Amino acid sequence: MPALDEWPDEWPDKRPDEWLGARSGERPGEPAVNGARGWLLHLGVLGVLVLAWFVLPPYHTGNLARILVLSVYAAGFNIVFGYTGLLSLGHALFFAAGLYGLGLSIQHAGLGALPAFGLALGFSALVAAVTGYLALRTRGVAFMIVTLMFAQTGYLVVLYAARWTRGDEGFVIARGARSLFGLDLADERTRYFAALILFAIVFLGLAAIVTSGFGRALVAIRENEERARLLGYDVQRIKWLAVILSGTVSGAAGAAYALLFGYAGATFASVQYSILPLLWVLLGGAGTTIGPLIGTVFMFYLVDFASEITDAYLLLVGLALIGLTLFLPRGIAGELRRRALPWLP
Amino acid sequence: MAVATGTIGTTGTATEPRTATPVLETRGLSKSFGGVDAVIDVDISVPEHEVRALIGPNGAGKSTFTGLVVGRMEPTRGSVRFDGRDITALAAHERIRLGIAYTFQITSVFAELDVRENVALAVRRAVAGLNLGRRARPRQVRQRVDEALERVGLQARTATLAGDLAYGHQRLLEIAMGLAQAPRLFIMDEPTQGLAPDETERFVALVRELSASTTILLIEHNMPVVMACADRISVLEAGRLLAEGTPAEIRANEAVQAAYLGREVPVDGPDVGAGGSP
Repeated sequence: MPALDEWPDEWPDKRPDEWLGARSGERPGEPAVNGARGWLLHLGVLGVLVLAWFVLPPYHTGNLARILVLSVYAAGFNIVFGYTGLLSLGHALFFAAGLYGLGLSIQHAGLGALPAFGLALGFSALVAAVTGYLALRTRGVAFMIVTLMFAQTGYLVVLYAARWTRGDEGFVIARGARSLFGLDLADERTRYFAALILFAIVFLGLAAIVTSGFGRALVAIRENEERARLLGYDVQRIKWLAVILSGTVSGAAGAAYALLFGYAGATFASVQYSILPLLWVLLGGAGTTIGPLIGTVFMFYLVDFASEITDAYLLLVGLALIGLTLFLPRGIAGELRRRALPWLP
Repeated sequence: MAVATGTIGTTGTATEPRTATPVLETRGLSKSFGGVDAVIDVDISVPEHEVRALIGPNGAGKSTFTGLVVGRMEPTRGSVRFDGRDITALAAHERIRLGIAYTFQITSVFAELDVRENVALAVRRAVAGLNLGRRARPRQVRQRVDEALERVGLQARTATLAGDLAYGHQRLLEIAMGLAQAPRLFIMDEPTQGLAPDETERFVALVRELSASTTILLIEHNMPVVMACADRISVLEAGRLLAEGTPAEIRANEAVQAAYLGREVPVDGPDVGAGGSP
């Protein structure tokens, strides 16, 4: 068997949109300049989300709080998948690292919400650094399998450590522990705006990162890794940094989920939670800053709507997904960028 | 002819910098793939500001040799020195950062990014150089991108996607990406393949112009281009260095004629014996 580094490079490292069958060569390039329009759009989106609290009925704002946290997770996934072109099937590991990092340190170490959140971030960054370092020694299908296996290991560890995690059943984080700066995060309004603040930080932060030199280097690696390497980019290191950043953002989402909704359970470490961000990002538009939010909203309400109609809601969801793949292979924001807004970051 | 003047110009300049440290020097460089020797004990020394052509029949080991120089693969034995420094143990990206630019044999650009961003990626990396903390200022990047594109004649295509360019223009874009790095050593693997005749002419002029500021290693099949560009030529055959000398010397070398010119003359085609050149 040949050594790993002598494996042929022929495995087609697909660009994210190609996973949905977009033909290569159809897509316009990344925006060369991210001017004022990009920032206006981002601030506009945040403005709409602030307004939404005052306009929408409580049912939808409750949903939206959840969606915002989950789309932070999707945005984290988008860094490796959408921008760097690495298909990870194990991001649930990072989400769960944040979720349990926060949950367990509140539950068993009696930490306050803020230090617990910091600890959760550090823990998910560490997990991403270690697993990323190892997984990045592979590429293509092997990378998918290795990340999947790491995540499965994480899932099994959660089940195995049932004494602390209570396994599948999970545990509820007491309302008393869920307060930040004296604000009760279980309160609907506080929760909504806490979720929105986290979302805003990640949304704007990532927009800045993907238009920076580092972000452009990620895209360069996605588009043509060997060319990037032979321009002097330390491809391996850059990919590693991308995985760490992605894992940390995913971990932040996990920690926020536990903190805001007060529950940590093994489902969040399962393979389902590795696949979900992939779907959200594909639907919303891989490699766009706005795509993860759009995809998460869309998918959330698709499930919501379908389950009102029938118990076989997954059938409807599946059909809708197939339709989207056929007609919008770049996802919603990806298609918008292609047709109308080429400057979308 | 251009060849004659080129030769006269060379013999004078090629002898002088001999004493200085060569920009590129390989010693006993060898590579075998599972028992097949692709490159065997190649010693090459390229002084500063020289245009060195590397020629040889298909399968002579030219691309393997460049792969070893640029760090795309590890040698079985031997060493590579750049500016007097042993770089054999360095990874490809580290070698590039020291001041080497490389264009691929099969055009390799960022097809889905526009022409400007392709070159800008090269500039941003080159400006940072060895200092990781250093950043390129947007205006500086823009200026260097414009310069590089103008030199290859692609200044009107900045907003085009690289993948939408004609093949010859993609080659020129790749050369512009190399130029934009302002390299100490510019390695081009068959740069004129796929260029139209007027583009080839322009390329020859560009190489001559560049030799004032950089050192060039040119892997080339097109003999008129080699004869017009190169100060010296190294001939590889079956992985070994067969001959080395000025274009006139190589042209006159019987071993080279037997091994290379006699069998596989400029244009690709069947084994037509074409001993003499026009």
